Amino acid sequence: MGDNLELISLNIWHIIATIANLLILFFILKKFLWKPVKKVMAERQGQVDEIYKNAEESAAIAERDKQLYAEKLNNAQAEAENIIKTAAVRADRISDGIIADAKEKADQTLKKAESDIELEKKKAMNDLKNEISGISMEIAKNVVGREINEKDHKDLIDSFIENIGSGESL
Amino acid sequence: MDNISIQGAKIYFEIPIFGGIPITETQVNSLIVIAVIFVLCLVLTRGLKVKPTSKRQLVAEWIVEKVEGLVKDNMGSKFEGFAPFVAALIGLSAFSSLSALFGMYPPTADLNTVAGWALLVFVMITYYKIKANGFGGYLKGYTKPFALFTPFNILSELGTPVSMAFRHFGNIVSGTVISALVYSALAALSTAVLGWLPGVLGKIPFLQVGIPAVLSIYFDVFTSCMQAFIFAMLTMLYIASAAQPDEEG
Repeated sequence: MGDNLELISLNIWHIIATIANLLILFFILKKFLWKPVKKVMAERQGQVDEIYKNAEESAAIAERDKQLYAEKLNNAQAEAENIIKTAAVRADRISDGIIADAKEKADQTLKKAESDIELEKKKAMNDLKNEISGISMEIAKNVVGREINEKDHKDLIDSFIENIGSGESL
Repeated sequence: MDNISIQGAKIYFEIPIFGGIPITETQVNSLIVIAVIFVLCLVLTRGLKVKPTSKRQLVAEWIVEKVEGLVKDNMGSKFEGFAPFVAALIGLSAFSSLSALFGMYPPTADLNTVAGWALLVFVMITYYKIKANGFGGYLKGYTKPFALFTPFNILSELGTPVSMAFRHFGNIVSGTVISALVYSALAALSTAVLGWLPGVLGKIPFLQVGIPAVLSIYFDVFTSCMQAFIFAMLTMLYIASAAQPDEEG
């Protein structure tokens, strides 16, 4: 103790020791600083990657849902249009039926009225015929002053009226 | 200004084998530096979390990322495994030199230390040169551009580790030398200027207070970090360029 090395001196053992020291420190740093820090960094990277992956997946799902909803919305619109169209067609058909019914009924009524009128006309004609024949019989009785064969007479008048009736429309 | 002696590391004792291996301050202080770095590693990496909550973890990650960035930038990503080695170089060099701040003998002021590192780097350079070009190609590299250059090429090859070692050694030792000179100069100045003060007051070297501290910031702190960085930088560049095959094969 007490002695010093020369300022510039080389000793092979010191050099070897120095190299060993450097290598020892290299292994210390590698094992006790690099390894744990890199491990934690890798873990973090893994988590970040996972988060990104999840986010991307979520975005993809959202996009898919969005498309699905848009499609559904479109479908709903089409369906609504379809329903409206069907309803309109049905309404048209129903209204057509109603109109046709009404027309038919009206026709029937008209026909009935016409036949009624015809009937009335015939009745009136008959009445008229009877009236006229009665009147003319009365007149003839009064003029001739005697009873003519009522039956003959009536036939005569009837044929007469018949001629008139067929000659022109009433 | 007498009694200034610039000497190497103090010899504690000798191991009596191989003709005596002196155990000096260099060895002891180197081990102390390694132990300090080791403890620092353990402290920094204690309780690492994926979501960092401690400043310690941030420092640890900062160191790892910075050194890896440095290695990747200077050597390429295939040398990523070199990062802990470069960190060991920087850490050992810087902490060794900075140990002077605590009044210790800096191991980097011992030529053996830096010579050892330089030798290791030289072996690596040679290894990568042989690996890249083959042994024949490595030998042929000494005859470039033509055979006459062979001695110079050998000199320049050997000059690499020597220059690395002496650059580092010289910078640190010069700091020690200048510090010692300034101290004794200030002591002499103090005696000359303030020696008239009565009694013990005249013996106190007042001028030694302050000025050496400023010098120490340059010679100890700045030079220590700078030389550590330069040594690591040169190591990376030499090894990376050694791993490149010669263009002409």
